[in-house]
Amino acid sequence: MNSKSNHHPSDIMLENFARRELPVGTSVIISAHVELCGRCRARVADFERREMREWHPEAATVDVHVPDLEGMIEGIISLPRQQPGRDKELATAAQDRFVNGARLPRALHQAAVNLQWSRLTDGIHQAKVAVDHETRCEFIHMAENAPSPAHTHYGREYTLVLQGSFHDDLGSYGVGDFLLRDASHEHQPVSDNGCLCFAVLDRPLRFTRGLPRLLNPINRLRFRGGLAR
Amino acid sequence: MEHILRFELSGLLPGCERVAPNSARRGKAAVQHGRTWNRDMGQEFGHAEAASDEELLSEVSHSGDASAFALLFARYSRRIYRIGLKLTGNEQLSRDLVQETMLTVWQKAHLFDLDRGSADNWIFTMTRNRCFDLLRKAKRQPVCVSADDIWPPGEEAESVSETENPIERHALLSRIGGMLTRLPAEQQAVIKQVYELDFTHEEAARRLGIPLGTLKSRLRLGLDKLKYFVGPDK
Repeated sequence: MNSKSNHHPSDIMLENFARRELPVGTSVIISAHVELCGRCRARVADFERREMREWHPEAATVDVHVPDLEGMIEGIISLPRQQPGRDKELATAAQDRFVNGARLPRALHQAAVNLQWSRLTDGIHQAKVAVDHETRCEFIHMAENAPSPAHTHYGREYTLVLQGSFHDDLGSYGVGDFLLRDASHEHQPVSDNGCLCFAVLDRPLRFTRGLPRLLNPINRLRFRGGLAR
Repeated sequence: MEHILRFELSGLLPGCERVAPNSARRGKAAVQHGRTWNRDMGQEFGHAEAASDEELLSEVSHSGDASAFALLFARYSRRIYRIGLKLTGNEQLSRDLVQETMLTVWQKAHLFDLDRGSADNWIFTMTRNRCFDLLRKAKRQPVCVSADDIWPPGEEAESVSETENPIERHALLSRIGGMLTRLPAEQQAVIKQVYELDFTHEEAARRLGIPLGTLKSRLRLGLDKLKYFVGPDK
């Protein structure tokens, strides 16, 4: 599945992703982008190959003491294997997950179970998913022309477009596009034709205009609550 | 050119580690499904030590062959442990990593698909994924999304250069394999250090115990010769 993405994670993010060094939430959204984007898939593959040099026995620079591990074999082979018929995996793989008619990338399948949608403002709905303690992840649905509240961020907000498109003062974004917004951007996204996104925040949003500002202290509390959970 | 070499080389030089048989443990037996397993069973059951990792993995997948698994264990467990130590700095976690990864190999070998890559790659991905899950567990993070969903195993994506020009690259690759072996051994060695193992020139020179200048000239000679074999750029 390839879409023509015009907005991608930075190489540093892709490398950290390949090294499995990002929080789960951030890894999930990058994985979803990578599934949609051949360019980034190739880059991640190159970073992983670089990682693999440590894996080659000849590349080991320090000779570490390796204890006797063979005792494990007995325990492992006494455990049942999964059926080679791979019925279960095939069944899961075939069971594509859809949200609002959009087929989800694999990394989002687990997160998208039992979504609870709640209304944020007119035409904007969100469904939070608990993926880790370090980020806040949610699906966001914007109805046609619904103005979302203008906001900046305390931290970084990553957004991946899964269906439809939206635009803000910096550009317009379609399926597969990956955006990063941080405290230096104030933006007010609008969708002309409706839009489903997955968003990951590593700090809470801060609304800058109008009534939604009242949510600021609450959001912050909620986020802290989320972290402490 | 550089990418082409690197990937061709990784095919030529399978990174599999042979572990010297430990005579003290020879004969230690385990019972599995009414059969007895010991170190020498590989040979008894017709697994030459030379069987490829892919063949062994598919034996495990199709018949749950304990001796094939034991051979894979011998080839990979030390490497997994060493990576674990590097990633976690903890001996117990590294042992757990060997346990979890080899358990994945045993239980999920059927997910490995020959068409989609090498066994080496698949086991490496599994190692990194199990390590990610183990560290999450150690930090008491929820594990509702499995690492295998985030970094799906078995899918070997093409490299950047491959996506740029797949057909031409493929044709060239199949020719370069033979060409490399026509280079003098010392030129093959530097090309391997730089293009397969991805070391900097300085690191490669240090590892080979040769001066940097020597390394650079061998590299240039080797690459020039390969370019000559390949023919002029179109």
